[in-house]
Amino acid sequence: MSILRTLLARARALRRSVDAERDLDDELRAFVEVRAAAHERRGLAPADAKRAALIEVGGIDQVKERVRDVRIGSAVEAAVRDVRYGAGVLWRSPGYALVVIMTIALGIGVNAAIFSVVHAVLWRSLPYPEADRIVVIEADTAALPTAYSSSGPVFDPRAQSRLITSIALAEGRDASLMIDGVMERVASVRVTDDVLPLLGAKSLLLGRTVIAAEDSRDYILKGVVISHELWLRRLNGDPQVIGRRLTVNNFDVQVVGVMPPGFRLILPAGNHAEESIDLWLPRSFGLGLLYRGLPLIGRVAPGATLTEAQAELSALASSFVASHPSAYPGGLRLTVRPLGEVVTRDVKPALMALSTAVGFVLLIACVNVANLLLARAKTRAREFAVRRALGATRLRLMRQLLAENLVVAILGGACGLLLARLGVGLLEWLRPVHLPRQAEVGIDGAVVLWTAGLTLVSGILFGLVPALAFTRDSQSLTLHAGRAGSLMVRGRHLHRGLVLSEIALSIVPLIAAGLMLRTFANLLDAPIGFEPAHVVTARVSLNLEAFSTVDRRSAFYRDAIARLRELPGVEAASVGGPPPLAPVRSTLRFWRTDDREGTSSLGSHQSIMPGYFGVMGIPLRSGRDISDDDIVRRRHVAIVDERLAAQLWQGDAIGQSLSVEYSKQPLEVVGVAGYIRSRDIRDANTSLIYVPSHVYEIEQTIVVKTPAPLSTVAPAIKQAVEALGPGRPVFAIRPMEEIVQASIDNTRFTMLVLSGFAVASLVLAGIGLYGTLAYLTSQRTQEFGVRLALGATAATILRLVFREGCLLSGLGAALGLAGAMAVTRVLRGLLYGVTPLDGVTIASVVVLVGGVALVAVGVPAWRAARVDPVTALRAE
Amino acid sequence: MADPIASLVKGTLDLLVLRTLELQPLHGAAIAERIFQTTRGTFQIKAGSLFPALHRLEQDGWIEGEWETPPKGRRIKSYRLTREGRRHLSAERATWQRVVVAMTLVLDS
Repeated sequence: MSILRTLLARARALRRSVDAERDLDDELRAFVEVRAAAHERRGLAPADAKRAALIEVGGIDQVKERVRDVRIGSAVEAAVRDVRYGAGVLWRSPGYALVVIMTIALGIGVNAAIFSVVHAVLWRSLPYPEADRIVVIEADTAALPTAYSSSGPVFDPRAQSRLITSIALAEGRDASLMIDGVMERVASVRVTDDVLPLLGAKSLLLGRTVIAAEDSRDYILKGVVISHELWLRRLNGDPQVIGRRLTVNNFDVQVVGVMPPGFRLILPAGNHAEESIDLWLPRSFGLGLLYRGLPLIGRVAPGATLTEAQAELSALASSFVASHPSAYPGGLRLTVRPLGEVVTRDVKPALMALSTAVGFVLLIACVNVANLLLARAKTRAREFAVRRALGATRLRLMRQLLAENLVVAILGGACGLLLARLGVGLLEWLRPVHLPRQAEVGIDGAVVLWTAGLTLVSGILFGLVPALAFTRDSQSLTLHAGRAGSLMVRGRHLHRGLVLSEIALSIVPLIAAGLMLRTFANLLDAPIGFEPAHVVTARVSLNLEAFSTVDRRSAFYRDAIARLRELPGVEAASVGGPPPLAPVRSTLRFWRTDDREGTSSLGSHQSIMPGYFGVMGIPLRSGRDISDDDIVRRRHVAIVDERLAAQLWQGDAIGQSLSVEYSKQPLEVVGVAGYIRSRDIRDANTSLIYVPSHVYEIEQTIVVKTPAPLSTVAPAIKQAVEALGPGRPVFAIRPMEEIVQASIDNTRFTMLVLSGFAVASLVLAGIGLYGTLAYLTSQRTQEFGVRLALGATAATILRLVFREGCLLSGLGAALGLAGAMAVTRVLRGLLYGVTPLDGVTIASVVVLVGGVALVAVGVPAWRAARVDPVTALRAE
Repeated sequence: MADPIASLVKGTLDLLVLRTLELQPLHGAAIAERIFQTTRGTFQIKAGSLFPALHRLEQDGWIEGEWETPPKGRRIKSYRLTREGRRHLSAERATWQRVVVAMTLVLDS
């Protein structure tokens, strides 16, 4: 109960210090009164007595000042003394200091690194004025049974809405930019007139923002806004740049404005926009995109809440549906969410998982350090016993131990911050595909502040254990302390408890990493439906003035394919785009032409040339491939995948008629292809149709099947196509396998980082387990000596130590598994093909931890068994 | 004698206060009074020395202050010796006696 009493005393002291001033006043006044009374008794008149008393005191304020000095002085002095003593202790044992500081640095470092990401990505508000009023409007496309079609009535969220003041649309794409004959691909976005004002970029550095009515006409691009960075890089910061002509996507355009420096476009992943945009192109508003899954952005009117805006939009939508019952038979659901929330929606689960994992690493580090401190404090037991006997209070010793540990923690925290800097660099190098606002991640004031707080908390956490354990009742801390006694027994229990928790703590990150590893392996193994090996893709950007008609473009592709097929080492070549699992894909709705109101399916589409299936290794289940004849004769034909065929026609699709939302003319199904996962490896529910390039033309991709390495294939492809004439630049030559890999980069990233943390926790736990058991065993050397002398065999000793170690690790593992079951739920959204309670993962982790524990237990046990009884008994 | 405390070894005042409180708890003015009487007027301790000393001793945990409110009149803070203070006092007393012996030896030699 002495702790309680100390705490109560502290609390009293604290309260006292709050009204210390008033107390001091009272105390001195009482003094004066008592003295005055004494003077009165000696015969002075009351007024004179009081005056005499005051003179005697010699200035109340001076006295108060001196008392205050004592109060402050002693506190500061004690702290300085403690810190200096602590630093001295560390300085005298540098090896120990290094281990402890590095352990803390690791624990703090990973936390600071992850915090810097979480802070920049999830918590910091978006860099736009009144960013909390910017919202994203999304249509629930899966709930729209029949798609938006351009012919029928469509609900326009802009209509009548009073609470969402402006609604705008932005669609990211890369663009080809030619300045003075030098071409490059740059990030671009097509924006409606009010996107930039909505995001708060009201005044540009130069010129004005793009206006659809002035800067484009009938899909012909006429004016663009360029980034500050592009302006400096390619146009030397020319102040007369407004009106300058550039070639963008083969259009002759003029610069109408230059963006302010450092402007970043932060939009939901569904908008496909890069954060740092070089070209801002005009676009007119198109509702179709909303109903195909492109989010709109808007601004909630001042004074209105998000809930009100959502309610208003929902009401408008339902009254529209009520008056146009045939337009949305399945109802219409539009949701309004804050931009900041939608932007981070995809990465939040992973970041939360990583934050949890680093928390465990820090806890393990703290337990490790506590263990070390405990072992060390024990060797100092004599020092403490002497000091207590000489009258040092418990509080005094505790304070000193805490100060010592804080010195360690602060040094560790500082090293941790350096480590975090490296970590952030590493993060940049690992480059997750779509981590929003990654450019803003860095070690800033908030990170430093947070790290300092964490350092303090962990310093107190791991410092408190030995402080409490070794300053307890002075009576048992006899001066001959140094070995046996109640102190040792208690210490051993504490050690065991710490080792146990360490093993339990390390299990959780290990299981999390194991689950991510399995997920990643499952993704690599998933039946994607095509063969990415040995396929090389390359994009071509045709000059639309030179290739103005579909026929000319088709002819060009035919020629290109023929030339590519002749290249040495090329097994097959064709054209089709966009390639499966490439980031940008639009969503469409398909339905049976003879059943407009019936089932429709949501999917994606791809425009291809003959031979595409052969190159990609996609099996043709029935029917035929697209032929050159289809293209020349402009037949409206399509090949559907087996999933769509089964869904719409129970598999019997050949010769049937398919309606697609962009085409007024139905398509005749001529073939059924194997199902491929085109959008996301995790997604086995999105259908894909293939149409000849004249039906719907998208920027095409050359696909070539060749076993030759990329380094020889890439220049050959470029040369073969570009040699056909000008205006057909080939770029972005990438192996198909790389595109597949890139589509699961986020999972790889989470898996790698989580594995790193798991390994760190395992190493820390292993070191802690080994160190502690070795220490505990060495403490019992004498006991073993006695046992051996009394006839115990080495095997008995081995068993004794071994049993203890195994019991500890077994108990720890059981606790850890229980904890893991609770914690790994966080991961659910990140997993693929594996449940949080995956038996294989759990078994592997148990085996792994068991193996590490076995080694950590085995070495000290083996050593104990080899003790020479004579030496052991003499050791004292 | 002007203020013998000022010229004496640091810690003497502490020792005087601790010893005074060893007999019974007292408030500030009473401590000064008691020392004045016991030393037959040799040590007249001023408030400017007494109160800082009292607060320092309290912070060190040797003595403990407690507010008392008499039935009539102003509340008053009285100090008593703690367990640690008692131990400290006996250690200090031993030291002091050694010093006295040593000083006497030097001065009488």
